[in-house]
Parts: sequence; C-alpha cells; structure tokens
Amino acid sequence: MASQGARAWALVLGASSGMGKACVEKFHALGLNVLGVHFDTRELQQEVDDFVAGLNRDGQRVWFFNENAARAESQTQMIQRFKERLGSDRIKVLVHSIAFGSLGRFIPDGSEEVISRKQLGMTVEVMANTLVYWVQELLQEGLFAEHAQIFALTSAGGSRVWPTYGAVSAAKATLESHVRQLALELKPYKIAANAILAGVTDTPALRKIPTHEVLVEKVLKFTPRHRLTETADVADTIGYLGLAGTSWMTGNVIHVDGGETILM
Amino acid sequence: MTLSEEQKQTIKQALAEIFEVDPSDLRDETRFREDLGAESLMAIEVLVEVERKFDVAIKQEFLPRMATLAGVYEVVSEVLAANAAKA
Repeated sequence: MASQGARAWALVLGASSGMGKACVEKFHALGLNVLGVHFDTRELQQEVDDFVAGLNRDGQRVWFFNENAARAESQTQMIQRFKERLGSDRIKVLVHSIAFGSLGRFIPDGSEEVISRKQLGMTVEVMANTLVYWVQELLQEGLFAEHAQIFALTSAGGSRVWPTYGAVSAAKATLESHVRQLALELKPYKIAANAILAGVTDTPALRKIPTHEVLVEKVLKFTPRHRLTETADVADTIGYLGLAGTSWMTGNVIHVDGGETILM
Repeated sequence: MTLSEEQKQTIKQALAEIFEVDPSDLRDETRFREDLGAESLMAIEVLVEVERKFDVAIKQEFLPRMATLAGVYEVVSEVLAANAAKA
C-alpha cells in the first residue's frame, strides 16, 4: 500500500478515445499522474502523441503505452514497467474502458454476417475478462493503493438487446458479473469495484453499431434533458468517485445516463 | 520493391507468434480468418507488428488485403516502395 506522501496514480485501459480518453483528461485536471494503455496503428498514433504532449506541457504526468492490453505477455511487461515508473507510489484508480469487439448476428438471416466462435470468444475475452486478469496481476504486484477504486465501463447492452450487438451485450453482462465478484473478493484489500453504465454517448464505438442513429433519436426524444450522455459526464463522475476516501460503495452498476434507463 | 527472404521470414515469424502457430504452418496462401480462425483484433495486431518491424505506417484501409501472408508481403512491399520513392 502507498507510503506517506505518495502521489496518486490512475491507470486507464483503453485510453486513446471515448470514455477512457475523457477520464485521462479528468484525472490529469485533478492532479493525478496517469498511465494509459491503448492499441492503435501509426495512422492514429500522431493524434495520440499530440493529446499526451498537450497534457504534459506543464511537466510530464501522463505516460501512454501502445500495446494490446488483452495479450498476457504485453500485460505482464507493461505492469513491470509501471512498477518501475511508480516506485513507492500506488494506483488509486483503475478504469477499464476497452471497447474492441465484434458485431454480428447470432442467427443468419441472409442480410448480416454471422458472428463466429472466435469473434464471440474474443469479444468477451477482450471487453470483460481482461478486467479480471489486470486486477489479478496488479494486486499480485502490490500496485493498488488502499481504498483504490476500480471502474469498468458497461452499457445498457448488459441487460438489453440490440441488433448485431449480441457479443458485446454478452461481454457487458460478463463485465458486470466480474465487477460484483471482484467487489466481493477485494473487500479484504479495501478496494472497491463498480461498473459505470453510461448512457448512449457519441463515441467511435457507438458509431460502429448499425442503426445507432435510431438509438440516438430515442434518447434525444425521451430522456429528461434531451441530449446524449457526453464522455465528460462519465469522466466527471469517475473523477469524483475515484478520489473518494472510502471503498464502501462497491459491487454496483452505477448509471451515468441522465435518466435514460428509467425512461427508455 | 520485392521483399528479401529475410524480410519475409521476419513477417512470417511475427505473424506465427500472433496466431500462435508454428511458422512452418504458415504458407503464402494461408487465410488468416478462414484457416487460422483469426479475429479482428488479431488483424490489428498483424498491422501494428508489421509497422513496428519495418518502421512504416500502414493505413487501416489496407487491412482487407492483409488477409493472407502473401497479402501482407504485397502491402509491406508497396509501402516500402512508396517510402523509398518519397526519400
């Protein structure tokens, strides 16, 4: 656990876009040091480099690692590098925002590609099981601070259906289950684990869902404030809860959706 | 630009590690998805690994062509040739 005077760190898995990127900005604004893991081709790397350089203009507090977080060897190598970087510091907040999965029907209807066994397995592995693997190894390496907070980004798909979203829905439901189990098993370590259920948000992940325009239209029409959730709404919530000095709130699915769930 | 045997071996070795197969099981015409069960994340891994090995940038629009070893050779060869022409 952290020593006196240690600096607080956040670790964001899936840090280069969407919710993860917004969390990096928020943590930086709150004065935390940030480790970010993303997996991008060189086509996008310049944009990521510019983002990190912008945050580090007043002194380096943000370090990004362009690696596949779902590869076991990469995970171990990165965690060893984190250990060197942190010294006696510890991770106060872990955000799991890995959004890489396959879309496709389970049952063919002639119009869409049917999801394969590998795609279904990969989607659940990457979007859900990686949370467990990362928490296991970070804990084993003693890298969590006392009262550390783990947040996993889920969606309404964890309990609702949408065409071609089956594999991702399964991953989100699994992720929420993993959060509950981690909350139980991390209690002795005073580490909280919660899922954040964001409302429909205009991110690159949303735009990949066929007919997402219908979802957007429904949200704009029916939710109390007639707007989509923004990544900053989620980052603000995680930033606030992440620095809480208590780990008592744990095992929840916290809705950050402007009331979307109660009305749709 | 034709790739050297050494360059081809570098690619084959890297891809064999990604697909967790023996390099000797990878033939030029092996289809990553149909024959090896590769999924979309592996396709990105292939692209990123080749970028790193050859210090080049490959646009994601090339991904559909990188579905076999021969396809990867072809794309890398084209990108290296384009870079050489710019230099």
